[in-house]
Amino acid sequence: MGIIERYYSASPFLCHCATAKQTDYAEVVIPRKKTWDKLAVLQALSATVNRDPTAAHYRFQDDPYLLPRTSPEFRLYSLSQESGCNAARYIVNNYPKLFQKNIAEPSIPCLMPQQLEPLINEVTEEALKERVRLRRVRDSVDLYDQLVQAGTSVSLETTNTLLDLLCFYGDQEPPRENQLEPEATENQTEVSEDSQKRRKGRLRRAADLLTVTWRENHNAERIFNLMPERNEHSFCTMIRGMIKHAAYTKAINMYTDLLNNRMKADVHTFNVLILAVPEVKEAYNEKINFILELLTQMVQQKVQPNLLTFNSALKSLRRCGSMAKGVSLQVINEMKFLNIEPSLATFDHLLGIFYKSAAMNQLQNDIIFRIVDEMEGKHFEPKDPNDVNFFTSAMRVCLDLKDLELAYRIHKILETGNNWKLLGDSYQQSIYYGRFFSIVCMMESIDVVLKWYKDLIPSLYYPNVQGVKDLLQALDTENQLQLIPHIWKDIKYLGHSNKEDLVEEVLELMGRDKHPPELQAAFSDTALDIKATYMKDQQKILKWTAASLGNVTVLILRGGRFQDAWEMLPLFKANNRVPSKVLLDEFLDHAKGSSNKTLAVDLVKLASTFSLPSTSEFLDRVMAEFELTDEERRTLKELDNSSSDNSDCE
Amino acid sequence: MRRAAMLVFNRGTARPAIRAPGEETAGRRLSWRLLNGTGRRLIVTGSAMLRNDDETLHAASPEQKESTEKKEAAAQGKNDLLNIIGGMKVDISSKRKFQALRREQLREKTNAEPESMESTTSMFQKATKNIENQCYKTLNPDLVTAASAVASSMPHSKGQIESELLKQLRKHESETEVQKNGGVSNIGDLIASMKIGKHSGARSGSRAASQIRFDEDGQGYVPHQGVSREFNALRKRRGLYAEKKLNIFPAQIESESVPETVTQPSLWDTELANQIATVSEQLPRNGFEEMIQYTKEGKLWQFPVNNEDLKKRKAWNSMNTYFWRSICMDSQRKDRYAIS
Repeated sequence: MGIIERYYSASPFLCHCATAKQTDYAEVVIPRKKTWDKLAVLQALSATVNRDPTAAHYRFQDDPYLLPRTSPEFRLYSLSQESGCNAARYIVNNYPKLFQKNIAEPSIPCLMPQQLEPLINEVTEEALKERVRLRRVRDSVDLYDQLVQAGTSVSLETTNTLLDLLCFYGDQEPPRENQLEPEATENQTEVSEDSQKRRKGRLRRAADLLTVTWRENHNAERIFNLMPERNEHSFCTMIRGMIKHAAYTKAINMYTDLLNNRMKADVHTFNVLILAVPEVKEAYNEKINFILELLTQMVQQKVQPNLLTFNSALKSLRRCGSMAKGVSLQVINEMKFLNIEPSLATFDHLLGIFYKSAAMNQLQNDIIFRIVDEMEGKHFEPKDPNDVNFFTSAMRVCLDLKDLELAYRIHKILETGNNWKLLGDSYQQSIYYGRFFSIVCMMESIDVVLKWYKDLIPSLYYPNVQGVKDLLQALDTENQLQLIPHIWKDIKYLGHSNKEDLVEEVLELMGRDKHPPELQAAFSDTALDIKATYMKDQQKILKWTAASLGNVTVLILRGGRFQDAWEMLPLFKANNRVPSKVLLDEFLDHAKGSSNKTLAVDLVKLASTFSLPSTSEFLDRVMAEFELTDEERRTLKELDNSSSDNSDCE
Repeated sequence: MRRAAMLVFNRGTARPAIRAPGEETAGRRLSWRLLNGTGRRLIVTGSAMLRNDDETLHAASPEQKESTEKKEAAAQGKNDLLNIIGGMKVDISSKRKFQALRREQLREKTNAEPESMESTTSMFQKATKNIENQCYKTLNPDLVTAASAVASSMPHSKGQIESELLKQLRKHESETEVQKNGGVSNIGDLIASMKIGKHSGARSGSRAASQIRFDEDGQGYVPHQGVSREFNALRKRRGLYAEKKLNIFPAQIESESVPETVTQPSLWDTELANQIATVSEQLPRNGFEEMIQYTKEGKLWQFPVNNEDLKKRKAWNSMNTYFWRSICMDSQRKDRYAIS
């Protein structure tokens, strides 16, 4: 997929150079001076570099030993890089005396030790401000209490900033970078909000899983109640804090207080209130009505809505059932009317409203086509934290609709300009590419599938077991089984060679039919390799099953390696598995082909040891097809009798 | 001889030329089934209708077009259509090219004709304005019957479909001449919009059944809208903003006297910006992006070095003068300050 459009989007490169005036010789037109961005040259240069599909991500050291080959390795290496940065920052911040020399000009503040301890130690408002700025929750609260007890009045503004701090962090300490582990307090989240230092490869942010809840005797509430005067900011920040920490009814009550005090809320407060609506109302129409009521109140209080207002409305409408569809379209039109540009989060919420499940009746609307029509060719900026969910949801819808062309269009949107930045972290990326690849496997011809395979894997995406199975299925339907040995090598490379179902699938595909000799030879090599994988498996993750043993044996046999195949047979006994009739038939064919009587007799003996029901058939066949001595015949008859006795007894 | 071009869906194996009564072949032609003796791929730049009376690729017998046979043939044609459409394999790469062309066409156009909800004629609606519909000469009767066969196989509004199909056929007749000489720009949507999913080999049986639903029992409708879903991508959509709006907000809200956030942004704002930046942060993909990031953080000078920048000038000067001074030892020279 080498066609990548390059947009010099962030730089003033889009030429508005005036075209040369051909005919005007008398008059010299001096063009206006262009001022370039500081980064313009670099951006232009980076736009010339295309992605190399054979290389891993730039962040990794370009050494074959240090490149990640599987997705766990990817995660490990990314995290180790981050933790290295953290360790360095820890050292620098904790031993600032060692890092005082500053030879850079102009000085680089982010590389110097940061001042994290408060300097002012008296009980003054300045000290309070400093602690608030350093985001030390406990210290600020203590200092505030001291100030109040001492009778010093604290200005409203400072109190408001203190309230901001408390409400944002929910009365917990934010995790600090100069500590290696987060403080172990109750309900502590593991990831702080300024988590740039702690980017996880694949793990979801723990903040999603553990939310800090609003405790009962919250310091913020206490301080709020103690405040001699409160302005709108105070109320608003309390409401925002409560909603952030899931105290929804309190927030609504506070909002009512606000209204009773004849104050106005600001746009951010309204945004979070709209988000809280699905939590406080039960019935769908009540929710919708409440949302609309809040919007009306916004107008009454003369608050200008912004993008996040409408995005919050749509997000709440996701939980309002199918009635929300009409309303959501009206919301979109309202946005358009107010000239607010939609962001990707808007579209994501729309998809969430319209495509709730993969049921057939859900898929009859064409909202995604309308959205994609709208989006094509546009550049999007990150404006809402939920923007990153769009591409994965869109690809999920494509997968449900089984629409390949739509998938290509969405991929094209992703590659326009800087939209790739909105794909999210590596977990989101792997989901997106996984879905994209599976729809390509499902719907495309094999050469296009292989082209995408080379393009995406492993530079962008490490397929999971399901992805590889999709690929194998695509190969199977197109009768391109000769690629299976190559895919097996890739499977080993990706670290999936210990996944039993995948290995069995590979064996099944290879062993199902007979193939021309070269292919058979290649398959038998692969089968031997798989056998080696099974044997080498220390932790016994891979267990032999009858099918896998049978397939391996058959493949080795068909590849002409009789001795190796013969060595496989004791494994059946060792693993308590029974060889299938097909397998033994093939052995017999081989024996016949090489006119090996002893082999045939051995086979019958083997069949009898397993007490196979088809032993007598084998016997007859051997007797018929081979010239046996009398002794041998007797032996065989004995076997037959004993086995038939056994079978009679059973 | 006016030969309309056709899009090939062949993957390399030539489909046998099926002898069939005229309606069927015409029906198949309407489905743009290629027949090409060599079986090679042919990308065509014209409309997709095949004229009958020249050396057609079918050995069709033109005399078998009595209307009495039309009904049976239509029924049979329906089944064949199913097989054909099920067996069609669209070449994706050329399709994308056509899609790009079609998009250009769409952009040129102003606003559309009203959409017809579940009719396949939306496939044909996107003729550009350049096409002059003056040509109303009579169509080949085969094509007419083919049109009716196709229309009868569609679940809804058969009469309308048929008339529109015929209208389109006339249009295409008129434009083949232009297209033969002219450029690629008038690719009918017929070609570009063949959005049948990719089938191959063993899968085609199950796929076709799930993708194209005909009313086998003749009840006149299909319970699931399989076909119209197929054409979702093609039909003229109203666009995202076609609905009514909420009518809650006035166009311009007169804001109160003082905007609230006249002071510096509060913790919430900085944290929101932080959150957005974190979520959309991507590690640099090449060395230049890394340099961009370092420049933004202040770790690197601007590239290329800006000599007028004062802070750097001091550094630059100091770096330069250090060398000069150590060589020339200017401060050691006393003769300059000697008082003569």
